[in-house]
Amino acid sequence: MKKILIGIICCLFVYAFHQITHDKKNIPQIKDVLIVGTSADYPPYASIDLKTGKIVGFDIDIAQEVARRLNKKIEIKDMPFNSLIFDLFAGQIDMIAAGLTPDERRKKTVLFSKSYLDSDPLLLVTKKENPAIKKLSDVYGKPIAVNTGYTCDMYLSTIPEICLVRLESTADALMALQADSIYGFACSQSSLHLFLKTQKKEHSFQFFMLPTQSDSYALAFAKTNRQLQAQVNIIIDTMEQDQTLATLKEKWGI
Amino acid sequence: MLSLKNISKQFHHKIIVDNVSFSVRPGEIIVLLGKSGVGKSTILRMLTGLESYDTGSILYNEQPLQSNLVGMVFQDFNLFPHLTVLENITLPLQKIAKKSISDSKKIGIDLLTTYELAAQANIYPQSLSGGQKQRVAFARTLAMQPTIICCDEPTSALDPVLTSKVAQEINKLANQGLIVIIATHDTELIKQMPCTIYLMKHGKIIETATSQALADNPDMFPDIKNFTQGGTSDTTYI
Amino acid sequence: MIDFNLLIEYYPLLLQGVQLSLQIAFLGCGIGACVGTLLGIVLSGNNYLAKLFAQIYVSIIRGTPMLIQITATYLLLKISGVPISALWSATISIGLNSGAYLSQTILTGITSVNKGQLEAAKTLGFSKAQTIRYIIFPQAIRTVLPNLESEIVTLIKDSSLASTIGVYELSNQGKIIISQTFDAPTIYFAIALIYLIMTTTITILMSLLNKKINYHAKS
Repeated sequence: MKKILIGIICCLFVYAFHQITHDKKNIPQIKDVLIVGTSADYPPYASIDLKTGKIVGFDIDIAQEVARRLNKKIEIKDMPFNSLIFDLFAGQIDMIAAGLTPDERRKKTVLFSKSYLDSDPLLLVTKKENPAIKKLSDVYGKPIAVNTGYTCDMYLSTIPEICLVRLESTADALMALQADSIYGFACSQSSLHLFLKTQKKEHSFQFFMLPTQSDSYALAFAKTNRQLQAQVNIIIDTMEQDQTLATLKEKWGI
Repeated sequence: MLSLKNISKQFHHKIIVDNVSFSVRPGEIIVLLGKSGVGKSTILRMLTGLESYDTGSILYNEQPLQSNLVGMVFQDFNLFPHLTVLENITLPLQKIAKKSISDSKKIGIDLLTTYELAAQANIYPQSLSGGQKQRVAFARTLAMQPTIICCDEPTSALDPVLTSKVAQEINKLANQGLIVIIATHDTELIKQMPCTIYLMKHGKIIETATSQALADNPDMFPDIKNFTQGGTSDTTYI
Repeated sequence: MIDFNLLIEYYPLLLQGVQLSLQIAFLGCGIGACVGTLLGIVLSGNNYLAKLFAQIYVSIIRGTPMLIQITATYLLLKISGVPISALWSATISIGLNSGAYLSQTILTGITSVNKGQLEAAKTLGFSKAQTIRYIIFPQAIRTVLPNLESEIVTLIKDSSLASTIGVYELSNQGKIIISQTFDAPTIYFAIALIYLIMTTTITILMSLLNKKINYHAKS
């Protein structure tokens, strides 16, 4: 008798599991919540406010504006960067707002909106006491740090003469630079923003602009979600026109 | 009436029990006599359900013997070391016989008193002497009120004085109507109990005698006589 | 070198991380104890097929890094669309991992109980379940308990691996603070100290618990 009962319970579990796993479909559904995925480790785009514990940032503000103009509530999901595209693909989030640069490789798997920010120059940061850099070949053979997966990583990886040191975050790279364990750090200007704002040491660094196009940022959607892409593109245009974008850029010092 | 008919067991071509048959009436004491390894313990284990048998049948009052009628006192006593002496007795009473806590305690204390162990009720078995452990083992088995009680080498750890006490105890149990089956090679023990002796060798019963008949006329039972006198020559045996 | 003002400002955040780390460790150990007991009972039994499955499971878990197990479990759950949070995914995979290791201790604990006692239990009429509950378990627990204690300490440290799937346990909280304050030495010092305090406290508490249990036991 007990065994029959256990058997029935097991069957129920299997059934429930099946229902849960086959419920989510990849077709975007019209609902009143915009689920936004982010990786809160990239100030000023998305980071955790240490005082309040909330997720804040330029991208977060943009996402909230988009949701507001779409007449939807917003739900922000924070996760490791590598999980973002995965969740988008699985339909667990509708949009990625995480300082994502639209590059050719990513365009194969996701749809991008228009960029809401471009002309963010890529810089090479070195200590002031080192000789000024006139061209990229000046640092051939020296250890240069980049953040794994970021635009500078993609760009400098194509140049074999550069000794690339991949580090996880901006903070790691800047601390390594200060400790002289690397010679230079290549990143976008905006990612230096927090450091320059809070630390007094910006005068001990010099900056060289990398001879490549500036960084741009856009929101990402699932490949099947052309509808949302179109809607958001319109909203970005509107935000550009009514100066909302400009206000936010100023707010975040971009 | 307990009857074993044609019980045999083989293990990997080695014959452990070879066509053993005997019957016991309530109040009788049976002794399975023989050297170590002849199969006497195995027969006890078959009666308690610890061991299976290949052929034959074990019947009690014409019905297949149910293991809850049989109790066993082990050679190593096998008391539960994490329980006190009293708990060793009350736990089975509570969990298997479903007696209440107060009932089981009463039964336990009564039994321990009979065995002069009431003072040791809350002590752990490790602190007891061999003889005391023996009595606790008996008490624990008897608390479950078995109809048949099997004792495996009950006196192997005991001196002659304690052996006598065990004999007395077993006689008492038989007088209460229990069937007692003992596996032993202790001839001193047998002399003190009225019993039926089955001498075993190589899994077979080779000679039978009642203790009375043996005492009156030992020469009628040469093998048993030889065994009890410590004979070593194998050629006497078939 | 160590900025204590920074610590005073950010210790609440670190404490949030501590809470998650402890939660993962204790719940993981709980899951591990259940899984380990189940495996231990199977491995000590006679069912050949069940034993085989148990042995394969234990081999796989013990033969792969916990880091991979955590990320693989998380990904698998995501692929199947199961809506589970990173915290629970990490807790479950840490628990399953712990169970495989604990099963060996529990197996030892079970088999250390004298076979004669099991036979005595059987002849007295105990069912298999009753034998496990009243005879084996109370005795096995004495062997198993010290191992459970060291397992919790191990899991407190291993909970830091949950950071790879985004759980904001202690080490991850530290990373966030560092990424915005740029003061690694201070934060790493604080985190190391906190881990040390956690593990030492648990060790002391457990040895007190041990003394209490052994007080009632025989030699």
